[in-house]
Amino acid sequence: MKKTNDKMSWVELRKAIAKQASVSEKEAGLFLSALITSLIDSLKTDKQVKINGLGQFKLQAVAPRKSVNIATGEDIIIPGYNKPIFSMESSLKDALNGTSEPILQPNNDPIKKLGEQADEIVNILADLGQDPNAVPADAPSVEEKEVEHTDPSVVLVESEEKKVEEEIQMPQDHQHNQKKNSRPWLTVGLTVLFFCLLLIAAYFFLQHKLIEWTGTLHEKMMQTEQTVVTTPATREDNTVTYQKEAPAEDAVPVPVTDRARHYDQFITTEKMHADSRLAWMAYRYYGNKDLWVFLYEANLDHLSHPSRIVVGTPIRVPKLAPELMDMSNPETKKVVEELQHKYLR
Amino acid sequence: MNTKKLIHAIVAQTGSNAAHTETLLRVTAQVISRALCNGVSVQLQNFGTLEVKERAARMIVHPKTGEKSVSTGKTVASFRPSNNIKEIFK
Repeated sequence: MKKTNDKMSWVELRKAIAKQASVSEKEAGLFLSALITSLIDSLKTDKQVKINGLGQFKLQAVAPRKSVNIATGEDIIIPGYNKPIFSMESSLKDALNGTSEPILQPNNDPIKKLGEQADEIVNILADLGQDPNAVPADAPSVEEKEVEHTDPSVVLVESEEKKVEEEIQMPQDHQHNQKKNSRPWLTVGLTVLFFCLLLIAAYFFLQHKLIEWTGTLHEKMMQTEQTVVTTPATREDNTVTYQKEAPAEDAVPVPVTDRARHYDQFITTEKMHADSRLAWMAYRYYGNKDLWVFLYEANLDHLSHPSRIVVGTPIRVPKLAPELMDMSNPETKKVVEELQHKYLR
Repeated sequence: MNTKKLIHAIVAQTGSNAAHTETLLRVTAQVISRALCNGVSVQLQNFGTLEVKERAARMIVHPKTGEKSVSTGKTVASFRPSNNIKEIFK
């Protein structure tokens, strides 16, 4: 990291690139000159150019400034100009300052390492190549043992070669594997998620079923209770049955007013006139203007708002339970008020 | 201009493959940065020189608190444009 006076010349740079990218020097030279011309062009047009892994070249405007001619003492103006500057990328900065040298190392290492290993192997090969030659030269008629000795070494070298080849292939394969492996993980994750969702859905469905089932069970229980209760009562006394039936009815939620209303039976169907109102219709059919809410509720499927009914819209007039028509009943009144509030909002 | 556009510009001149040009550019950046890391300055013909400079440690003052401290020295890569470039951008 210490500053030296070493300088990498154009030719050296070309050689280094040609060696590392395993291309011809001519091609590297062509590329470099194209790089320089396009760098200049892009600096001219965009005033900045970035090279990944190295840094950014920028044009910095230097403002004109006043100065003095030393010889004559005259004031002169030095004109402004554009100065190309270089700002290094953070990875290069770190590498230069030794804070995190590994950033650059891993990029270079595999190739460098392989190169070194290759050199070593070449050396070993050279040594071995000399050895077998040397041995027979010295003693050509030696026993076969020595020849046998040489054989394993050759085998060894071959295996080493294979190893190196494998190692050369390794980094690429490794990258491929990583890329391929990332997908299966995703699919596995998705399937797991899918099954989780399925389980949750099944859980809720079963819960729902269970509630239904318990509900029916409850009803059945109630029915059996009623029959159990009523059968002996009818045998004994009428008055008793009346008293016993009343609590049974209470157990079933309070009638009509609290139940959800189903409109199956209709008195008539009337068409809306220009001057007809739901309230008047309610008055005519049920005897109370406030009961229009039931009319509206019965025709909810084709009405949007009680005060916005198009002329000619058919209005079905449902048959109402007598409890619902009795406005003196506080329960009915409450229901009607609730409905009014709901629909007029 | 980003690296992608730079590669396009180079391809327009050399007429070679974009992927190949990209690897060449990457290798070039690697070679240059490694040279700089070893303290070797790199000469780019008709463009300039990339060289390594040492910035000495200096006393710095925090503008708000007035606190004085010593900044650590650092190494920077700087660019010295060649004369013809100076003329071009004048």
